[in-house]
Amino acid sequence: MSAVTASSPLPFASGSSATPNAALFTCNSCGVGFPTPDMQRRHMKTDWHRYNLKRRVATLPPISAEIFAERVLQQMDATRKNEEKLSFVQICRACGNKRFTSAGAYENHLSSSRHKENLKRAEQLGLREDDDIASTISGARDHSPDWSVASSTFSLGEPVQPPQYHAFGFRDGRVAGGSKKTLRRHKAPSSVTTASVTGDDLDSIIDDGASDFARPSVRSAVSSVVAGLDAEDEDEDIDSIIERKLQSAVKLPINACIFCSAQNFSDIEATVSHMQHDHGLFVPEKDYLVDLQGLINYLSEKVSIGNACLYCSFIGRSLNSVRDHMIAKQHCKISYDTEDEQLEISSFYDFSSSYPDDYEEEDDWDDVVSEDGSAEDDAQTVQVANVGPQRRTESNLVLDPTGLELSLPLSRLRIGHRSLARYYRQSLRPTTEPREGQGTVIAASSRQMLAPISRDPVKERLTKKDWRDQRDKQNRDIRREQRYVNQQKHYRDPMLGG
Amino acid sequence: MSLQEIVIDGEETVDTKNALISIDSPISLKYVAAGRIAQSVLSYLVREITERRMTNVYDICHAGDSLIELETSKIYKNVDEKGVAAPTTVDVNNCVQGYSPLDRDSAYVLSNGDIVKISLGVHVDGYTSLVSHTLIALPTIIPNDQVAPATGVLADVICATYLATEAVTSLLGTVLYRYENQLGCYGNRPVNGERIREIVESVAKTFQVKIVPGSAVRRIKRFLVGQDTVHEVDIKGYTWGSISIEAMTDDPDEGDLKKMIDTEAPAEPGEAWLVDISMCTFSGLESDLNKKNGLQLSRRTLKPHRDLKPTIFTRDYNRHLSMKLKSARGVLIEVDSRKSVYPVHLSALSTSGAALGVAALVNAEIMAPTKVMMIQGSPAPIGARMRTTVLLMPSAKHVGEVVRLSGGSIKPSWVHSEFEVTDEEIIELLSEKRAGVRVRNIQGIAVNMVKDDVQEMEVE
Repeated sequence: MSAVTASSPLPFASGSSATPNAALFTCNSCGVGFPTPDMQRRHMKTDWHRYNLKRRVATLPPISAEIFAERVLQQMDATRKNEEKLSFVQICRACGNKRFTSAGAYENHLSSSRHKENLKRAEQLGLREDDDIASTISGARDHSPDWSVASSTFSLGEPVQPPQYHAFGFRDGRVAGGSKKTLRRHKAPSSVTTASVTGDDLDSIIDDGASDFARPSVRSAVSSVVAGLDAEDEDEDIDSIIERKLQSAVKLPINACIFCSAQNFSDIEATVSHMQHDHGLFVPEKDYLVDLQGLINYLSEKVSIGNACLYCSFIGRSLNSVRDHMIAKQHCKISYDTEDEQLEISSFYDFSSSYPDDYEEEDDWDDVVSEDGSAEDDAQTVQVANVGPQRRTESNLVLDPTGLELSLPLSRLRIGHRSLARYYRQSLRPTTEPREGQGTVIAASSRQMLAPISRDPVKERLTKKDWRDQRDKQNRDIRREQRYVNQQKHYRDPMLGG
Repeated sequence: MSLQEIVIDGEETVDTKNALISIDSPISLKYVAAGRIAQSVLSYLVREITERRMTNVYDICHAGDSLIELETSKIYKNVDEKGVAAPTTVDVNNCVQGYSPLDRDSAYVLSNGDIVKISLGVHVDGYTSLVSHTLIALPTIIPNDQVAPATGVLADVICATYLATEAVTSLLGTVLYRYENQLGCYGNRPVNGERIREIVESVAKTFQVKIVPGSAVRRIKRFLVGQDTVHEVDIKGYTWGSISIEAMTDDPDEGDLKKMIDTEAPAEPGEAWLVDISMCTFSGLESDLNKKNGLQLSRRTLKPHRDLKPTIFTRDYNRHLSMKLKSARGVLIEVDSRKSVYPVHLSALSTSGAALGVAALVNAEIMAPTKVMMIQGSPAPIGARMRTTVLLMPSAKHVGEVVRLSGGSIKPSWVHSEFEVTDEEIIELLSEKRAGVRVRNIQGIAVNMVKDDVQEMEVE
């Protein structure tokens, strides 16, 4: 969205308060009038008009051109900030070139004991922590098209006036419950336009929420709880709220249970086993979990500082209230159902070993090199190795359009997603597409069936007349029989036959 | 998928996949490949019969089918659907269709003087070449010196069939020739079903033979070559009744057949046509003939053979019924996945208990049998059949040509008939110049059975 006001015609009457003159060519959705139809037509093509149309669909009052322009500028600002945030990439050389895509995760990592250990070892080896160890790469992150779409739109549900308050709540679509509670606590203005958003806008909000959750840390755990829905939330306010939260929060030590007051376990394993046995906490995908401490740390901060339930969107007033909630509702578990929830804790996992290409890379490399017969210097071989598995994947595996089924065309084997396991277990008859010959034959034959039945009006009339005659004859017969019924001398039971 | 969608798809594919633009186009090449195999296998079988190496009908049919499978497996490796489009049948004397025995011991052995009709078909990706050829069994090796040519009614019927086929082929070719000169059509009349009927019936009248129901000169399309189970509409050409579809009347001007055949539509360049003409001698009653023209046998005179059970079956894809019998389901799966929409020989099915399964499927009308049909009458009539597939191939540079996929360039048996064609137009069509039509015959290549197959046959 570019600067809209520059290209849009100046409205003669602005805002809903102005009564449009009868002689003017008006635009009802924006509440403006124009002296010529040409200007009105040009107005219809502006982004401002489109935005107001969308608001109208959402039964919201129109906004004036100035506010719209302001909002566009704000959105562009926010987009730029988001981009900067997303392009953040840190690589920790000491811990085997581990990548971090958010500042929070990186800070969290720096404070972890594993990093300190690695650092010590690296120092012993003669490396020193300086720019070499932690180098910042900017702009390395790819922006997916979804993301860029999401960032270029903003919610329809914004208030008409420039905001002077914040609506609190989660940003991942579970808005209603959280925002109500927080509003009551913070005594925010009572009239908040609840977001009744549609289509892309909703997607964009969910996307934003997901990207926030994707890089958890102390800060993001809190900010995810505290951050408002609106894009115009000023950073200072959020910061101050977080500061307040952090100050008032009770920090749980790593060897303390998240759900009860049990403390001073010998190590983190003991803590986890306690939570598992006594509270039923299940850590998903343990095989791929690489940073157990980080995960537990994140969870305990979410509970202790954010006072948020691990399973639902409940936010307690205090640590005790959220603990009570989790135990009473049996919410002592990590929500791991949706993709967003999985992404929330994904940075503590390393799934790369589950990719088939990963552990076969050595072999692939050999294969590809031997096939090519050349590639002797290092640079070339590395390139080939990178290309190899991808190419193989493309040629051999076919992904279903739904993304839930992989098939090997040669052996006709299919690998289905486990979420559909119950359907595969039914061993349904495979729905094969008809082969070309069958399709042709069926099409050629069925054409005859589909051929319209020719209707001759004369014939049709005659047929109807036949039916009518037959019916009349039947009626006549019945009437005649009834007439003679009373003239018979002796009663005869019709059951015994006439 | 709704029915409507299928129809729309079908129409689109049929149109784009049936247009013959030039001899080098992929579609033409597939046609030619199928024709070449059909021609090769046919000439191989004819040679084997005339040189008296094969006399058992089972051997001939088995060799034909396995050669087709072998040769088609060598070409167009990426094409899934290819192979036998019509199982090899050897119909002797008054048999007109469908004799392809299952085992060697009970199979018919050709004897001297039998009139043998070999029919087979090959398709590559649905582009089909069907061919039939008639010969007198076990002819002498040097015909010129010692033995006189066959004469009498035998000669008449072979001559009539052969000449009618050649005349119709030339007539179809005139479409190309006159097309370039913008004269409209040969002899100032369009080349359509009606015209073809006149020519064939005129030849039959001259030679005093009758046309057997099931003869057809019609346009063929990809996968659609007149299988019994497919009820097409608006077929270009002409059909003299039908053998298999019982509901059809003899008269093509009435009933279902009239709906199916469009006798007025003219042939056009870029089409593939099937010329399938069978005729027979006749010495029966007038009532056994079609009343309208008196040149065509009534369908009543054709009866399925009492003892010979059908061995060739065609799947009807418009019927869906789940079968109880395991072998029936097995056959259905095999036919749907490995065979095509063409007739299948029972011995080509690998499912155990295929015969039983097929019988169940026939009862459920999911498969239609090709019955062994005989012409009734005494003395037993003798039928002859010629079948050829031609492409009316337009050309950008010069006048187009008729590409005769199969059935050309194989000499007919040496016969001498006492009748002669008198019609001027037909004489011109049959002359050396063929009324100016260029005909290119696809030549066969040398084919031979794989050694394993031969050994297997010897063991049997």
